[in-house]
Amino acid sequence: MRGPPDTVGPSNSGIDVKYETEVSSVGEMAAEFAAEGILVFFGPDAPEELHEFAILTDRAELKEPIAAGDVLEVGGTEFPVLCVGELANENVATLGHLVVKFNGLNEPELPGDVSLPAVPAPEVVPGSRIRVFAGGS
Amino acid sequence: MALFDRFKKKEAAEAATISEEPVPAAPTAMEPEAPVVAEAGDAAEEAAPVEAPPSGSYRKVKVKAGMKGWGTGLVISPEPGKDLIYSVTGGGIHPVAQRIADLTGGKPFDGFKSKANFSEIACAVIDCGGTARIGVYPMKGVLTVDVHGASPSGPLMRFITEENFVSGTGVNDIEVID
Repeated sequence: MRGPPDTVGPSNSGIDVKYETEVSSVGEMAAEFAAEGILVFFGPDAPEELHEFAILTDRAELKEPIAAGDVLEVGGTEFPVLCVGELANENVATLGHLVVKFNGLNEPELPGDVSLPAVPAPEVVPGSRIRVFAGGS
Repeated sequence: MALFDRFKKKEAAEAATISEEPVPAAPTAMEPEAPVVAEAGDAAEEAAPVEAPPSGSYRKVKVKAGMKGWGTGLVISPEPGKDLIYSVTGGGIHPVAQRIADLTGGKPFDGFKSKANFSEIACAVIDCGGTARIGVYPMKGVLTVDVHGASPSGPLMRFITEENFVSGTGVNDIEVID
């Protein structure tokens, strides 16, 4: 387990939190995507028609681009980031839109993807924390 | 995940080149009067100026797939009460949405800033990589233009057809038809 965020100093810590937000609501149809190993996050401004499929999160800043080798935490469970599609960081930065796929791929299937190991998607509920830590390098 | 496999190769190829937009040719015989635009900006994305329709009236446009895109093209035909060009894209109204609005007389609308009813939307412009938005708008019966060159994919791909979706569209892939 990682330490709490308040132990993360600006320069004197090895743990670099690139992105941190919290789930505010989970759409009724989000489970359909989760069953296929896909979690679709959107920031709070997402139009209503996206709410039913999406997991909405609080507004958050992407401090550094997400990259392969980072660690993504979803609701208390950590997963290694295997690869990051070329649109993924732009989506997160501008829309709070993060597409996480539990598909085990080392090359992005689609350009918006952040790929994690091929395991069942964890349950996400309002209050679940989403964090991305820089990989140890 | 067999659902995605057949598109994997194509998407990977597109991912490598997705930021490339076809460079428009110099004004041709089709546009003899086209003046040179001297504005600063991305020359590759600069579309030939076209006069807007008279206020309160509308024109139809054909929206084609870009070189890396998918689909046979859509006809966008705004009408009174259904004239929003609904941009669901990062960074505000996308230039493609603005261009469709300029040519048709429709109203550019930022889906991340305000709320609209589907009955008011002439078309949606998205910048989707192929998972969520790509299927949501076709499923809702909204004509959908993806500025990225995505092919039908994602859990909702069964809703995506040539009749409701086109992709890879740039500002120069939109033309007025009568």
